[in-house]
Amino acid sequence: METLRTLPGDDLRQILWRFADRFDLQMLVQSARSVARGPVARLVAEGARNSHEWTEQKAQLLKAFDESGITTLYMDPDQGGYVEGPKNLALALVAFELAWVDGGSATCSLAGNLALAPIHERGTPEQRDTYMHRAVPPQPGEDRTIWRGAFCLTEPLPYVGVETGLLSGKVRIAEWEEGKEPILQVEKRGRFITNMGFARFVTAAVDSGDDRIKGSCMVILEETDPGLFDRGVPTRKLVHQLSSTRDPVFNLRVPASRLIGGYTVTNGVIVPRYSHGEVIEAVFRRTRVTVGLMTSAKLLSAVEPVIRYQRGRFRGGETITPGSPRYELGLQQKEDVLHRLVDVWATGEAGASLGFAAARLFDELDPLERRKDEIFAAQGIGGGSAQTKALRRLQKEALELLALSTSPAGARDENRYEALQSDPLVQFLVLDSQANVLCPACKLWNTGHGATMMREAVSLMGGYGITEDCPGFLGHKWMDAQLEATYEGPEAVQRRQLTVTMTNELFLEQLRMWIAEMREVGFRRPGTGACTLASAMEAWLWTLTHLQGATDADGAKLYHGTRQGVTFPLADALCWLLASRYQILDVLEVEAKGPANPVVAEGLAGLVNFLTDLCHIQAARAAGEAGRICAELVHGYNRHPAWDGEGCGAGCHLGELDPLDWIIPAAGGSVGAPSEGAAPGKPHPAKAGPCVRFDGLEQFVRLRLKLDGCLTGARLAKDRAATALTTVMIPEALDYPA
Amino acid sequence: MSTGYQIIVCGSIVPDPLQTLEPVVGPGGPALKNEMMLPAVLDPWAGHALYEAAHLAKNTPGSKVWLVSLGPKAKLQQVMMTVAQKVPFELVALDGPAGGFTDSCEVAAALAEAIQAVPTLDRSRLLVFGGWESASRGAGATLQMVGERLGILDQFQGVDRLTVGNDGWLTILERIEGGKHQVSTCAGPPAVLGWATGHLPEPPNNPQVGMANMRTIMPSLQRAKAVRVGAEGVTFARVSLPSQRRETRVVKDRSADEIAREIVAWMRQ
Amino acid sequence: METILFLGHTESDGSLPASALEALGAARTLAGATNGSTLVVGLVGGDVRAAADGIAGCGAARFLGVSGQDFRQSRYASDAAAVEALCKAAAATLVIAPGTSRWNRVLPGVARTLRPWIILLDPGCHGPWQGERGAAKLEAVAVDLSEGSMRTTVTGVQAPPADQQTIRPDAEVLFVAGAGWTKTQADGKTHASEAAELILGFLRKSQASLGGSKSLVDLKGEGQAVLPFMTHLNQVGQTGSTPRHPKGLSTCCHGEEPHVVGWRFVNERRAVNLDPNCGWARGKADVLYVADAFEVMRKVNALLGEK
Repeated sequence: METLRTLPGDDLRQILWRFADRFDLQMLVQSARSVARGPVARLVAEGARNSHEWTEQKAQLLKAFDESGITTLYMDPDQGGYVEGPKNLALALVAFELAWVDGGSATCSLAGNLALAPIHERGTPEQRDTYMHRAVPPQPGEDRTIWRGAFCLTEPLPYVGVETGLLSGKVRIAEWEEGKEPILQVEKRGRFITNMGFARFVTAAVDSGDDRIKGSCMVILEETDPGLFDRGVPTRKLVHQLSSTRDPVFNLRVPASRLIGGYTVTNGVIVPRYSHGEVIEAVFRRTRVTVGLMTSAKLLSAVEPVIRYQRGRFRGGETITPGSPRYELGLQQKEDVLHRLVDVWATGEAGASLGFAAARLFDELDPLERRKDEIFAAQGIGGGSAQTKALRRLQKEALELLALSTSPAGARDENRYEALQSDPLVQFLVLDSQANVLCPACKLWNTGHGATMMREAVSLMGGYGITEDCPGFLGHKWMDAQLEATYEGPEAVQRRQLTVTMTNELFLEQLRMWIAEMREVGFRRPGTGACTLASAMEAWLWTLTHLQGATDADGAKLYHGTRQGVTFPLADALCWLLASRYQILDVLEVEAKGPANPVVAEGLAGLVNFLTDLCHIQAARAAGEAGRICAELVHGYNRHPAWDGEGCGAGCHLGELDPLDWIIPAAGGSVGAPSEGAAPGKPHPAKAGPCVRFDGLEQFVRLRLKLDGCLTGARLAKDRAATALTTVMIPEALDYPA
Repeated sequence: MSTGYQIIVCGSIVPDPLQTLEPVVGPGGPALKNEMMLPAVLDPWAGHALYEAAHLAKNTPGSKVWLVSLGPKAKLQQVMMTVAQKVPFELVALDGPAGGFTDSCEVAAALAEAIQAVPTLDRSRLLVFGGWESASRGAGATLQMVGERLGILDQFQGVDRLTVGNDGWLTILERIEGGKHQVSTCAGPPAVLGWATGHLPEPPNNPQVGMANMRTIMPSLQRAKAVRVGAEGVTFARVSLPSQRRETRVVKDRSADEIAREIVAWMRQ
Repeated sequence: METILFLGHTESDGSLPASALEALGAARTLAGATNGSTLVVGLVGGDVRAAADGIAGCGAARFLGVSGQDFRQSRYASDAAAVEALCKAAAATLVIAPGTSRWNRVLPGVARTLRPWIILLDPGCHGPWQGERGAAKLEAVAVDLSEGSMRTTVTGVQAPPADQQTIRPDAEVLFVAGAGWTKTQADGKTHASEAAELILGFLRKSQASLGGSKSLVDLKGEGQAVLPFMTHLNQVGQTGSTPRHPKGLSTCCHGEEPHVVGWRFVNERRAVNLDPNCGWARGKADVLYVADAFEVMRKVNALLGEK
């Protein structure tokens, strides 16, 4: 059976992540890579991460970003950029490349965009023109310096962190002369503000501290505004030291035209067009995907150095002669290290697949969202709740579209289908319901589980892993992953968002379609683990429905906003399943498109075999996780019976009886009636029961059983993938310094 | 009449030097193991030539740079994603093998033919650039044959610097033995210059340059002519890496004094 | 029946370079091993008489020479014409020539027009021919140079001042410096000037030739701390030179494959590096000293000074 011959190259990645026809993005990847493996890697190797301060040495990074087009990537061509259209995938690819070497450098580049994002997403045309142009590096012949920005939301405790709704930063009216533009006094203390060491402008979230200003807003502050622009002390963070993070203090007078999105005056009150919440929602739901991809990049970047370390582990020893297995394979003679590395690799692939799928989805969604805003504006429907209401009215049509799309052509009302499919609002609703799940899922799973797997990668390097000398900077990457899990909204925020968005019927309907899709894939390509995944999705869906109606032993509702012990794990389980699905879809893409590319075609069979095995391994792992979580939630809130306790009696049986007997009589081959307890008058054997009955849960038990059976072959896939790691060709050396 | 130069840079791709390059003998003759799948880069020597060409073109108004590249189309395309961002040029792509096991004579014939087919070619302004060697095979023979086919008698190899005088004369520094340079003057184009490293650093990537170049590069790749080059009449008896594996004695935990004494004793042996 | 033409060119003083005698040795060996073959000597230069006499005893059947002011200089057009004339005059079927910069430049072009087999022999591949001087029966071969062959003029040679010349092809030892010399040292600072002093001091005392890794010579282009005397000419490796020295000492260099390829012809190899897992440890050096090169070279220089 053919297997992997070389490590995956660009040709493969372009197909896998669907930018084989985007030369702008391919060039961008090369550009970002040369910065990452050149200046960034040198900074890390030279120990630049050993200080919290923003140093001249670190500032070289900004120059490298400017020269390589990374800074300008965010801009549209009319603003001085060079990539047309939505840029979510483009930004994701850049962050991926930078984080391959150092996460902080990626944050540094992203934070500049984050500062601009409120202006880009919600700013007035004048604000966009002004600040986007200023943020473009000066072109030859231009005499100006570039403006870099910082996004300032987080505040010193106890406020903004997880709870973005509470702000202690205030905006008041300092001066408001009749017929003139009001002058605002903005007070804001920031915490953990990236790029603050060098930012010339800040987009800050503040709340009204004045009756004449309504609600909250975001406002642009400039370095030269009158008042205090104190960059504050560097945050003493242990990670991401190639980004500048400080705790600034602002107390500045700015004209009201700096309110992002503008304002109106109603009855003598300034009404900002957008609340800070509306601005950051638009911002974060895009940028969080990128952060998720940073951790996946680290995992994939670990593969090569770990293999090299494993193979060379014993070389140089006096008794280890070239040609001997110990010399040639080193640690790779041992199954465990191979299996663990396979897990790291599979996680990285799944995370990348999920993240890039989400980024592409936002690229699709962006123009629809603008179209939606235009349509609503034309209908006189404002932002916020008015839009939400209007969209809710379209939910039925969106569901109808999904139903029609699953009916075979010819057997459905084609006119209706066409009409719905070409309705931008309906399209928007469908994609939006996906994006609302994929974004937090990617941010949560890629970083959270990614950090755990990064630790695994570090441990595969032995003591070396936890030193600064570790090739690939794996120790740094592990620590950095922890910040990525927190940056732009910690795990709890993502889980909370998921608990709402994953129960949207529009999303659930799509999940049902995906189950059918995975069954179909499983039929064609059983090796992918798609069938396993479909079973796990089914179990998850059953569990959600069950929990939404079920109560615990005390009669309290289970699926409830305050019941995070129920909702959060269920959100976690979904993430596993989603990542696995996109991983499988990506491999199918390579299988389909690979033959047309001579470079990929050369080793395609082996490559697809290997990637398929990784899918299977990951699907099995995901199914296992989801199954465990579902089982805990389904059973865990029922009180365990005791022989003498309430609710036992006929509900109890001996633990040694096969529980399947309750579902499928005599399935366990056990003797006697299932309800049989201890013989009358005799004490119960100490080792037995009491075990529960599964009344009403039969279907779940069947699903669980099926799920277990679906793991068939997953370990064989792991064995094959492990063997592939012992034979795959790797370069002589890492392409960046250590 | 334009005083600009028409600079044609001959250069192709080589496997990324950090990759494990293992010779194997297949049915089609010798090759490198998994060569097609290994990432490739622009031949470093050709790269120097290209950057020097761009530099000269930038400083000589009316000049234009072409890169004539013979290599597997798909791999050329991938490498262009980096190279196209470095400097402005127009690509002339030839689809064929780029490995170290082709005969330089056949390669030269293909390149010369492609050069002659460049529209608006003006021999009196023509400078043919390339690397004086290739990282895939350091024979250093192709460019001279290209020059001969084009009838260019002023040829220079191992060039590290080219300067143009006010009178249009070229002053050229070529590497010779012992870390020295030979200085020559030439009465202007046409000339062939096989570059050593030159004196320019690798330009940083600039996606904007890349986007501009891509407008001609992609069509060029799409219409790249398939070229048959091989090593007609040559049989490779054996291909192997230089045998250099040694039993390395790793000396740890010794003082600098002891190590120094050992090194000096070894030097004086 | 082969006619083997040994092709040589004279140095500015009229002598043949050492590499030419090696190529002559190879040509003789080949002629001796090929039944019925004839060895012919062909020489190009300002005046080739002395050179011809110097190898009069090599056993060649004929001594052909192209000489004159136009052939003193190492120029493609005139050299091509001269070589072509010699090949034709000798009716050569096989040409053996030393791989000097002059022949490397011109012989591939001649091969394209004449298509005999031409083998350029790298220095160090064959033992030199050794024999008595004599009086060679030199046949002058006339070459008419066209107008177009004279557009180039060699005006001279540029070399660094003798005390700054770090490339010594005939040195016993090749000393290679890697990028580590300019990197941050244990005290958190770079010490490029001390590194420069240590390296130059060593070269002065040992008369070794200096090589560099690609990453070190590239630093200049990237605006990093550099060793001022290190240029691309020093670069050893796949995209640099492949020098020949009996011994090589590598310092602060990781010994990655593309670099070590340039060590092919360095027989005995030792390396000093702080990383016990660097490339040198993997069968690329005979001895790897895991140590700080600054300290070791300071001591080495002191010991060499004692001599």
